[in-house]
Amino acid sequence: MQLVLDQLTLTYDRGGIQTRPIDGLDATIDDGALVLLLGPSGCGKSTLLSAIAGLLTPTSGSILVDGIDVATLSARELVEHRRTRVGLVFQSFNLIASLSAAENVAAPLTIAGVSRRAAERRARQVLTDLGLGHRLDHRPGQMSGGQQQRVAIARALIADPKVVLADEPTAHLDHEQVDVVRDTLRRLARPGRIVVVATHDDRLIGDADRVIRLGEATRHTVSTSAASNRVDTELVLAGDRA
Amino acid sequence: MFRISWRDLQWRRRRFTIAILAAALAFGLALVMSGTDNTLHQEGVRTVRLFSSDHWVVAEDVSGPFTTTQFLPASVVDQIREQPGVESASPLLLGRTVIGETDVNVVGYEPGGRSLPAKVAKALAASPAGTAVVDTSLPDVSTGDTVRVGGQDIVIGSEVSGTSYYFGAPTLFLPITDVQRLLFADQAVVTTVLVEGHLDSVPAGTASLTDSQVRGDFTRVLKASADTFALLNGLLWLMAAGILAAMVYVGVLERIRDFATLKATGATNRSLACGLLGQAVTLAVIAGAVSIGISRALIPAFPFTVEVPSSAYTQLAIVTVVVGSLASLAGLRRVARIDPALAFGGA
Repeated sequence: MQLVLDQLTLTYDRGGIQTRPIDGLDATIDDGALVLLLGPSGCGKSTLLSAIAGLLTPTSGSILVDGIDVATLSARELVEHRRTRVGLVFQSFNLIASLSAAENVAAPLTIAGVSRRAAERRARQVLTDLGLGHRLDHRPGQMSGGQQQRVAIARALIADPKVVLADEPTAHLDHEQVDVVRDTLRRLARPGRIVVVATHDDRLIGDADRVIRLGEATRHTVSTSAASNRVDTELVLAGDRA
Repeated sequence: MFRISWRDLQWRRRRFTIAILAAALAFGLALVMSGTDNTLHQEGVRTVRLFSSDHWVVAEDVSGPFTTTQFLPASVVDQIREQPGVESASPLLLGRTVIGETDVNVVGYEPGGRSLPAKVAKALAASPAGTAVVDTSLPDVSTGDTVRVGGQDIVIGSEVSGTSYYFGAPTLFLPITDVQRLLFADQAVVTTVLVEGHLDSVPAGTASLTDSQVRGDFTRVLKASADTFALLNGLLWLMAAGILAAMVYVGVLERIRDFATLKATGATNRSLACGLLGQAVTLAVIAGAVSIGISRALIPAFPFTVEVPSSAYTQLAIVTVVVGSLASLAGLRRVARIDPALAFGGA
């Protein structure tokens, strides 16, 4: 299992302004790694996660997940990619308020056509593994922020994906909750799986095998020179971890 | 996917209950409209069947006895009786009056004639001589009471049911000579002659109609009201669709991040559309079921009998599915346009 970003350039349109936060990014992430994407707001961390998840088509370059180039997948193959190869953890948890913890976690499987009974059995197992066995039937509104984030992590893990993508997973958590989520993320990175965390929370650096620092995005119109924008990439080796 | 939609229905149940009740009221009113239309149509069918005959002889150029004030001289009855092949010929004189504050149909019959409906004849046989038979729908009047018609008191000898017509107006049965005296200044006129047997020709200035023609004429005058009811029904269904569509669309707007998240985790537009469609149709079907209760609660408040035909319930079932599908359209378009990348980013 390997995640390879090769000369990756990402552009998106916001209010008529073309923004290119990632320009010519190269990175190779090995199996079992916990990788941090660090950088200020707007530097392209979430955009990069979107592209790896197949939600955003690269302007150029490639994203290889276990040897499969996400940029070349058809719409149907992208759906399959999201269902089986990647698991997503969102900044605001994005749990569905009307569903219980178990139903939220089971949702990606039932959407993929797995029977409700089997999906919820698997969801209960994953939630129990994450220490939420006593919260299976609680709705998001009945849980703390940390518990909600762990439910969101459980949802990302339900299909046993090769890549877990977490966007600011500690943004809405207090100190104690952050420690629990850090520990959970650390344990997720194991052989057969890569965990990529986009964050501006420096506390997570100590847990990472690798850190990719993204520079400030430069807003420009595509018609202007692409060479005028810049992405700073700094790789920190696993051995640097505190 | 439908389970997620079903959970959303439960989650927002108060709001959906309000929408269901509003849509159910629209559906219920549509049912009452259908019932009213059916009642008017059935009145014509039933009334003609009451007096069913081989021939209805009426004044020439008259399209039917129940829609005209053109009369025949009473002497025409004897002319018809004299024709070979005629087994019986009995006159009817149809008029209108007001008893209390109720419009009443008045039917003048020939005592001993064959024009009288069987149940009226039976009621009459059990009544004291010189009394009238009246439909049970005449309010505040029962057997033994006196009503005032044409300035004279008439005693009610007995009551029958199911003889009302023209928006449920009750019918008063009196001997034809009494009706001529009370309502027509004692003129020897009749509205129609009911003939059993074969009629080779009709007297000059008259025409012969069949039951079917009389029924057609009866319902002809109701066409405008039937069209109005059909139009109102359509508008009420649209109203229900609008109520449900607004609710579904607002729900979609509130759940954009949910839909984006579902898409980001592998849901297709198709599966989301199915869930939304299922939700809207469920709302419409529940509203349809509730509307049956609402219509049954409303019907007694109407001043005339409203008979909702079974076909209206079948139609309601189809309409609820169509209305639900229409209601989901606006939401479907919005859901299809949601970018799954919206799932990223803060609240």
